[in-house]
Formats: sequence, structure tokens, C-alpha cells
Amino acid sequence: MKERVFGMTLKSVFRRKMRSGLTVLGIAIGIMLVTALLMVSTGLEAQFKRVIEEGGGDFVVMEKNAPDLMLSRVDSTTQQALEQMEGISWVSGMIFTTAQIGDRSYIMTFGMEATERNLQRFKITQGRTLNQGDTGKVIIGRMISVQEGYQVGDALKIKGNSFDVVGIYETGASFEDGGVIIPLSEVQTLFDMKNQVSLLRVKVEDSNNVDVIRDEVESKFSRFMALKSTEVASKQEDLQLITSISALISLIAIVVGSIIVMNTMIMSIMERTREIGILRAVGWKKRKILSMVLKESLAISIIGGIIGIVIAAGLVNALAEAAQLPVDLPVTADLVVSAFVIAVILGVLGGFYPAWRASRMSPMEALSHE
Amino acid sequence: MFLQTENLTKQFGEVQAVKSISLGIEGGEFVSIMGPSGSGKTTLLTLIGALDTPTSGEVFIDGEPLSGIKDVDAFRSRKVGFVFQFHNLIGYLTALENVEIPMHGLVSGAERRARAIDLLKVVGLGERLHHTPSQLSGGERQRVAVARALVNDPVLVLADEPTGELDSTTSMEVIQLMKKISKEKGTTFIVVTHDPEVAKKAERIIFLKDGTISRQEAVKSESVEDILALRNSAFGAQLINRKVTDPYMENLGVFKKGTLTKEGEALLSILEKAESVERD
Ligand SMILES: Nc1ncnc2c1ncn2[C@@H]1O[C@H](COP(=O)(O)OP(=O)(O)OP(=O)(O)O)[C@@H](O)[C@H]1O
Ligand SMILES: [Mg+2]
Repeated sequence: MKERVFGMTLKSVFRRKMRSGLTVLGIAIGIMLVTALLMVSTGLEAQFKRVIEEGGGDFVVMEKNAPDLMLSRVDSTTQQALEQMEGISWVSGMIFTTAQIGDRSYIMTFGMEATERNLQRFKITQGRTLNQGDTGKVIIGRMISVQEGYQVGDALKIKGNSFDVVGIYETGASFEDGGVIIPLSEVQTLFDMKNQVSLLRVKVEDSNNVDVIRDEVESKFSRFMALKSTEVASKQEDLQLITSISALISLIAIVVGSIIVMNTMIMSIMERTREIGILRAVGWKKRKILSMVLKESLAISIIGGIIGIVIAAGLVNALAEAAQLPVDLPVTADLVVSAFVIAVILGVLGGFYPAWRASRMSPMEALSHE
Repeated sequence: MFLQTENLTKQFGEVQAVKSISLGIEGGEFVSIMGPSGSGKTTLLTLIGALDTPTSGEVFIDGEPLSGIKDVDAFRSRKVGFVFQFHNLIGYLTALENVEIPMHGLVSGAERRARAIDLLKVVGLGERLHHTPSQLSGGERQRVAVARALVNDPVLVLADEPTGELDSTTSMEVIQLMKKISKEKGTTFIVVTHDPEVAKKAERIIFLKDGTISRQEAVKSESVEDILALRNSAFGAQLINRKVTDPYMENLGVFKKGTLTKEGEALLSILEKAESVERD
């Protein structure tokens, strides 16, 4: 039955379609912003983790003062010193940078040894992978191949040098599928990074010793930090910036959203003074009135929240795709829960004062002849 | 005495709205309150119904003082039903949902529904369960309000100008409905009204003036009222003047060839006696 599914709360909310609608819209926009930013920050973080965590390795060594992975420099003497250290099984260097390829700038460019373990998860769909001793060879991601029409056998101009496409790979992550992989030594020449890499991945012989060895590395090489792969993302300044901006916007959304909800609910209870008086006159308790108003503000904010989440989920990826950005911004359960919790918080914050006011209204109002 | 007030007084700043009223009402009695605007009628109802607290004095219901009741909300929802003049109902809810409101938190959803449907049938709105107030006539809305007032089986119903917005025919329907329910259930009714015709349907009329009871009047039985109404009708006048012209009355045997029959004479004498009853 209709009356049972939509209780008094929703009927009351839907009665003032225009005002409730505008309030819901306001909340939806706020939650959409929050969700979109959460998607960007968690999505980017997930991509960092992916590149660094996969392919083994217990920790990562990178430059302490580098604001960004791409600006970190670790020299080969450090790599050799690490390789000599007691308890370390292997050390592997990688370069992360961006390059202009053809007409497009800022294409993600990975420098890796052909022996790099990480390379094994790049699934070759056409041609072959990089082999040891390859020179002037490149393998490219599926996305860039599709977007730019590059095929196996084509020649690419990277920083003015010509490279032959020998293979096309796919990992499923846009970050990687939108980039290219060049042998490490060639990236070092091309980008003026002789004997330097962006980071070192380190594998420890006994996994119980990871923390001890990490401490040892940090004290021995004071210019570098040794991070667990899960910590790397949090040390990226640009990610940190996005994270703090999204925290700030969430806060603003909560404050503005609460004010919108509060305003709407205060207007609503003022108009319904008589209705509340009648409810009190027929015996409804103060706390029942309180919960009635709170339920309404929650209903508004939850509906707004859901709409905001749905719009953000659709819009963000559509925009990223339209702009051909090589990023995956998945809508994770965690993210939905966070956005939902924010919507609930602003519903409660915005609803509480009006609810309290309503609960204090007198049953005598039922008799007033307005 | 079911309901008693003892020196009941309510002061609003300078204004003494109710001045030391002592009043007794029997269980099941149907009382109306009349009086000029500002005479304290509404204030008296709010004190009796525990919507407001007196400045001094006390209300006793079944011998229990209201001031001793801890949970007045529960008292109101279980013992008292209210019918107001305007906007009695919540506009976005159906008749059925409006009637269910006082039962929220007291009875289960299914029983709430069943009781509300029963009562709406009692007030003749079994076909209007899912109408919202705007889809109901004024009289129907007040009947929904009556159903709502009765839904928790109160011992007392307080109505503040329940027919104030209705035309005279509809007013009579609503007041008769209340009387019928009062008789059937033994519920005590106190009805504030400006309409003498409505007031006369009560067993007793209490007149208020400047916050005190100026006069009380017992109302004669309803059948005497009806006979008086007949006497005051056009037909009654014809009968008293012995000039009955309606051919239907000839068919009924009230008169024959211009003069009253024996039955006609008997009818006339009853009407005249009723007049003398009115004079005492
Ligand atoms: N809440 C209040 N604050 C101040 N004065 C009040 C209040 N309620 C009632 N009064 C005053 O008390 C007096 C009695 O008011 P009350 O409403 O009881 O009259 P009433 O007989 O119901 O009048 P009406 O027929 O117009 O409804 C009036 O003078 C009114 O102005
Ligand atoms: Mg009044």
C-alpha cells in the first residue's frame, strides 16, 4: 500500500516539491563535488599504488625532498650500495616521467629494464615485449595506440629521437595503458638522467626484517626515504594537495549543506506551527516531533546525497574520457560510504536545530485562529 | 462527578481569561459552552484538556487532579479527544492517516489502520478513506476530525467551535453525529459554539461572560424540541390558525372539507401543550 511505503516523512517532503527540490539540488551539488574529488584523489592514489606495489618488492627508496615521484632522483651508487647490503635480495630501478610523443605532450613514460619484474604484468596484445639489449624500441599502451592510431612497426618521435613500436600492451589501468615503456638506459640518455632513476624497489631476503632494514637504509642514506609501497602515495605533494582540497570542499559542503537544510526546515516548521500544535495536542511527545523533523531533514539530505553520488559517478568518468585523460576513477564502496556519511552528517546537523525548535512548540498552537 | 473544576483561574498578563470557575460535569454528559468572543471559552477548554496549566485552581477528572499527572502527553492521547474549528487535519495526509495519528506509538500499524477504518465508517466516511482534506467537504473534514478525536477511546471530547465553518445543515449533521457517539459510547462531550441551534443540541448550555459562568440552562429533550420546531413551522402556523390548505394533509386525515378532524384537533392540542412546556 502506498501509504505504508511512503510514510509521513516522505509525504511531507514531497508536498513542497519546489522547495524540497531546490534543497535536494543544493545538497546534490555539494555531495557531487565531494564525490568527484574523492574519486580523483582515491583514483590517483590507487594508480600510484598499483605501479609501485605490483611486481614484488618490500619497500621503495626515493628522494626525501622530492615533491613528486617524477622529480625524485636516486643515483646508481646508492643502488649498488643497497645491493651490497646484508639481507637485501634484489634492487631494481625505474623511471617515471612524461614526454611529448608525436603531437601529444605529457604522455606517461616508464623507463624499465627488460628484466624488470613489474614488466611481466604488462600483457602483450600485439607484437612482443622489450628484450634485453633492445635499442630504439618502445612498447606502447593500448589506449594510446587506439587514440593515436599507432601500430606495431610504426616509428614514434620521442624527444626528437625515433623509436620503433615493437609491441602493444594492456594492463587495464588507464594510467599504464595511456603510456609507453622504453628501456631504462635509453630514458636515462634521453632525459639527461645518466646513472639516475626515479625510485628503487627493494626486496628483502627475510620478510620479518623489512622494518629493520628499512630503518637501516634510512639512517645510512639520509638523502633518501624508504617507504612501504602503501606510504608512497601519501608522500606525493600533488596528491596531498588534492586530498586536502577535497577535505576542505567536503567541509564546506557540510557547512553550506547544513545551512541549506536548516533554512528549509526552519521555514517548513514555521509554516507547520499549527500542524505541530495538533500533533502535540493529540498527545505526540516532544521527542516524537523532534524525530519527525529530523527524519525529514535526513530524507532530504539522503535523497540529495544519492543523486549527487550518482551524478558524480557518471559525470567524472565521462569527462575524463572526453578529455582522453589516462586515468581510472572508480567509484569504490568506501567512497560511496564516505559521501553518504557526509550527506547524513549534514542532514543531522542542519535538522537538529529546527527539530529542537519544533519540539518546543506549544500544543496551544492547534487552537490559534491565525 | 466525572469532571470538576475548582476555582479554576487563568491569567495572561493583565487579562484574567478564566476567573475562579467551579464547574461539575457528569460522565457521559453532553455540554455546550456559549459566550461572547473573549469570554474565556477556549481558555477553559485548554485548561480542562491539559493543553495549558491554570494560574490557580484545579481540574479533577475522575477525582484525580490534573496537576498530579506526570505525563500530560500520554494523558491527552489516551483520555482526551480534541476537535478544533479550522485546519483540524494535516493537509498532506489522507483521512485515514489523519485518524491514525493519535495512535502512533500506542498500537501496531495494522490495528491502527483497522480502528481508523472502523471509526471513519462510524462517521459515514467509509468511502472517503484515501481522500486528502482538500478533496473533502467542510462537513466531511469535521467528521474526520471527530473520528480522530475518538480513536483512542477517550473519556472526554473537547470541541472548540467544531461547526464554526459549516453551514447550518452541515452543522446539525456534525453535532448530531457527536451526540449519537456520546450516547453510544458514554463519552463526555464539551462543545464550545457560537451557534444557538448547535448549543441547543446539548443537554446543558453553560454561558460564559468575562471569564465567569453567567448562567446555565438545561435543554429540554430532543423530541420536545422537534415538536416545538413543528409548531414554529409554516404547517404549525396553519394548524394553530385552523386554516390548513395542503391537500396532502387532507389525505393524511388532518382535516376534511376545511375543518380539522379529531386527529387534527389532537395534533393541535399537543403543539399547544409543547408551547407551555417551553414556558417553564
Ligand atoms: N495566549 C494568550 N495570551 C494572552 N491573552 C490571551 C491568550 N489566550 C487568550 N487570551 C485572552 O484571554 C481572553 C479569553 O480568550 P479566549 O480565547 O479564551 O476567548 P474565547 O471565548 O475563546 O473567544 P472566541 O469566541 O473569540 O474564540 C481574551 O481576552 C484573550 O485575548
Ligand atoms: Mg475561542
